Amino acid sequence: MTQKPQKTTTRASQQKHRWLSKVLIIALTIFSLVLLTTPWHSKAQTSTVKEINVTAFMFGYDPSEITVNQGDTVVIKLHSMDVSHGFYIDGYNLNMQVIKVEGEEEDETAELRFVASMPGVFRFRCSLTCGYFHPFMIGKLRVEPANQFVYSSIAAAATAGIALAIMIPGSKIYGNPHPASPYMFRFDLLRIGIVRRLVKVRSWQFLVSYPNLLIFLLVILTGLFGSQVGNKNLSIMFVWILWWAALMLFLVPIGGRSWCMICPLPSMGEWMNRGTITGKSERRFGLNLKWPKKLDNIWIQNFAFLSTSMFIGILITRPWATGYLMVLLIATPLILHLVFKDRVFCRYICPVSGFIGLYSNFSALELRVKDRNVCLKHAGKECIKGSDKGYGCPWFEFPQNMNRNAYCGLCTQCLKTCPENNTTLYLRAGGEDLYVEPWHGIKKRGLDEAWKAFIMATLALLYGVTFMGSFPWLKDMANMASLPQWGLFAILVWGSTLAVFPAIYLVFIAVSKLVSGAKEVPLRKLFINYSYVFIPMGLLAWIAFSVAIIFVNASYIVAVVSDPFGWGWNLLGTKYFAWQPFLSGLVPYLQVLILILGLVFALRATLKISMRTFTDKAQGVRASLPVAFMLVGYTILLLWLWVG
Amino acid sequence: MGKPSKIEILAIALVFSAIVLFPIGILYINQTMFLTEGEIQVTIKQWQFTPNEIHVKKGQVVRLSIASEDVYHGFQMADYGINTVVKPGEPVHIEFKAEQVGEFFYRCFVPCGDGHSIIAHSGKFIVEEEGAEPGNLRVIVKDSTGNVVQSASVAISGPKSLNGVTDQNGQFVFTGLFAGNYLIQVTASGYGVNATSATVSSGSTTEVLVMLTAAVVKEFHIDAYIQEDGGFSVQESSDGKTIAVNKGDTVRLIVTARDVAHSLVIHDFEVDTGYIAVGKTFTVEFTATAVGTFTYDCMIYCSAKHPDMIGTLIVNP
Repeated sequence: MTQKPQKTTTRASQQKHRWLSKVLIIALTIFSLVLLTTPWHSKAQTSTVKEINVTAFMFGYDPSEITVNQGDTVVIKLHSMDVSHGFYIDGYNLNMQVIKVEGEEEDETAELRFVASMPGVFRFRCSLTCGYFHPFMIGKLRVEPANQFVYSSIAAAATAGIALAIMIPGSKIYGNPHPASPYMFRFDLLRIGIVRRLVKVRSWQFLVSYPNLLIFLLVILTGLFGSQVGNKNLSIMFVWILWWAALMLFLVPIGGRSWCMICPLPSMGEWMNRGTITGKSERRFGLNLKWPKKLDNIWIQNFAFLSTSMFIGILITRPWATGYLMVLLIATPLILHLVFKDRVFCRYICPVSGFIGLYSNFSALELRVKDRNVCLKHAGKECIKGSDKGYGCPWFEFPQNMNRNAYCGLCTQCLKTCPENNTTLYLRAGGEDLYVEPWHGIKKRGLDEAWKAFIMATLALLYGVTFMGSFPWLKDMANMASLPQWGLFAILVWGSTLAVFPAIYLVFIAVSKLVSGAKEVPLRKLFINYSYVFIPMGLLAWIAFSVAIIFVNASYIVAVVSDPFGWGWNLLGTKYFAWQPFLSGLVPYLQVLILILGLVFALRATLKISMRTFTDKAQGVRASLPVAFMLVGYTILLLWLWVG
Repeated sequence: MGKPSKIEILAIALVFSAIVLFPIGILYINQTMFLTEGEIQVTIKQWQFTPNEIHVKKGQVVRLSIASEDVYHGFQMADYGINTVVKPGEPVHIEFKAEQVGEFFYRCFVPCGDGHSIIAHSGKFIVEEEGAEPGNLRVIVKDSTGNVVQSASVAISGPKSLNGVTDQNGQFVFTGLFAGNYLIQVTASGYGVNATSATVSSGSTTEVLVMLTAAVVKEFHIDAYIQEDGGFSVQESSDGKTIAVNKGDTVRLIVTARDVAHSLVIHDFEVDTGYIAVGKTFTVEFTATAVGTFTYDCMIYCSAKHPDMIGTLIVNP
């Protein structure tokens, strides 16, 4: 194959995509303006002393929102209604605690005196382990003029307008086959010798998933046998803080389904089915049935994810619950591998696989064939049949026709089996996963994927309000304070994701169809196609969520490494590493930036989808506007959650 | 499939060791590096102690590892001078020698919610002497004329604390006692309180005669329980709260903890019932030497309503 023509295409496409950098620069400028207009270290000090009595309880504060003016001398007197509690203010980095002791009434009130020099909205949170929902015991301090929310909303809307103004003129209608290169940048990772040699090693997947297997065993053991104090137990900290943040911040955006490559959960089932860990065998153990065609969608994953989500308040706070969940997630594929052939669990059941796959469409890594014509001429089809070098795709994909990341588990089998060396891993910017029409034989996009996008986009908001908001009653619902309360939470989880969000979305899509004036385009098609704008938007919303989680709780991980069971071990000498949120003042600004970036990516996807869906540019542009309004609205909701 | 490759054998070995050797390794690390031989694991949570009874032998070095499973708690065993805050997930290790024989009480002293003072949120620490038989104590109550006094309340405190009521022969027998000194307090309606002490030795019954003299005593029955309008209810008071006496009176307060543990304290007269476990009754007697209005209150944190547990004592001239 010739290299030179390819290079010129890349350069040409770089030219074509220069507008994105323009938009990003403008977004950054607007963001910096927001920062600059915030009077940070104003020396203004009024003589007003504001005394506020705050009552702490499991799990909240009364009042849950405190409003003062910039420059006020604030005196917060903290009293506890039940157990010992703390009070830490984000950004101000101030901390006090009420440790109750019988007969020492004077110690039952703690006092914090400070000058409210920085304006804005700051979360205050409990700093002293006070029960299961301790990490979510949160209130808000509003130092007026607290205008980040208004400013950042205006910034989001302005960025959206500017981005559309820049992008619309450059947009072109295009159908199948797709234009020469949808990539801004693409690099064949297998051109690096060490990478090529590693992924071709038969035991590659075993080598990368084995360390994870050790960690998962530790998670099960600590969950079931360790201390049931969540923030002192490795299972909670590693799964819900470390893994979740790593997944959303790095693994998915950079590596797509790279987590699936190293996930140890289905390994044991797969080894049993194959009768070997690293080798290649012809005989398979078990019934090896084919997965029913009717269930060739991700609805089961959607329901599995929602079933997990309605217990989320228990799962992320009770080590035993996390332990049992992991046992379940190892046992299920073990059983499925007895009945079905290959990765049925990963492709159709696993509750997290659905969104990892969907979001990996937006990732910087892809597995593709280098030249489809080579595949079309080659009759061997080792990538799906297998050879002595490896197995046929265990994820039921056909690399030749793959033009989306969604269902490729990056198991590296086809990299080993292809005799033409035509399959490879690309590092990329851009890509057409979000708007491409599927090739023949590849799962079509459908309502199952649309709803997956709705579920994730809704939960980014609902989880944020529940766990990071200042509403104790909502926390009680998630914490199963009583069965009816939890019932309401379950209804909220299922109802908001399956009905409310899609209904609102449908309204915008109907308007979109109406203003486009294209009667021949079915509503269902628009409904499905535009749902993919929630992939970049949702992923970035979850990144904003994860930033808040990891920056506040990372210090627990340092301590828990030394004492994984909470039994009093001190392996590395870090057991008494005190809880300390990192950069708690910066987090909201970081979140604003992330959300506005998400909005820009989502708007780009909107236009791309429009240009693919309509046959007339003007129609496509008109249809994009209601979708853009919806995205700005969604962004403003998230901004309200984090800085409002 | 031919002979398994070296890599395959290594992989099988690694997986096997992960599943089998890993848990064993964890237990080994725990045993050798962090577990002290014979340490008793005590777990505290809202609102219980596990175990709630610890039996040790006299002279034994007791090692306790105390862990909290939820919120901040405390571990208090006053008789052994132990008073330590227990933070969740950070086990506290204490070591002491069990010198005193008897039944002691351990409890939480960090208010930890509504159930803080319930009996389940405490435990008994029992120190027995090796090979010692239990002893008995027979208390006989008579008045100044030599007649037996029926239905007198007898409370003993010492290595074991128990209550009893005399029968028609004016007697009550405490059985199964540890050897040691006991303080015996007898109260009966219409009589003054009398207290004496006795030594119980193992394997025998000690007999004690307590004489009561009729006295002008103002008696008040007080129920301590958590409620909306304060937490003490005085039977003999018109408003249920105020205790009114005259200067020089002997005042007897019979305090019963109804719902959770309470105490009754009058600082000005150095009156303190100490910790009254739920359902138990404690009697205190004092002489109203000073005139004025005083307050009595509860010193055990019993609930969020604890600050309301307060009442008034009026001593008229």
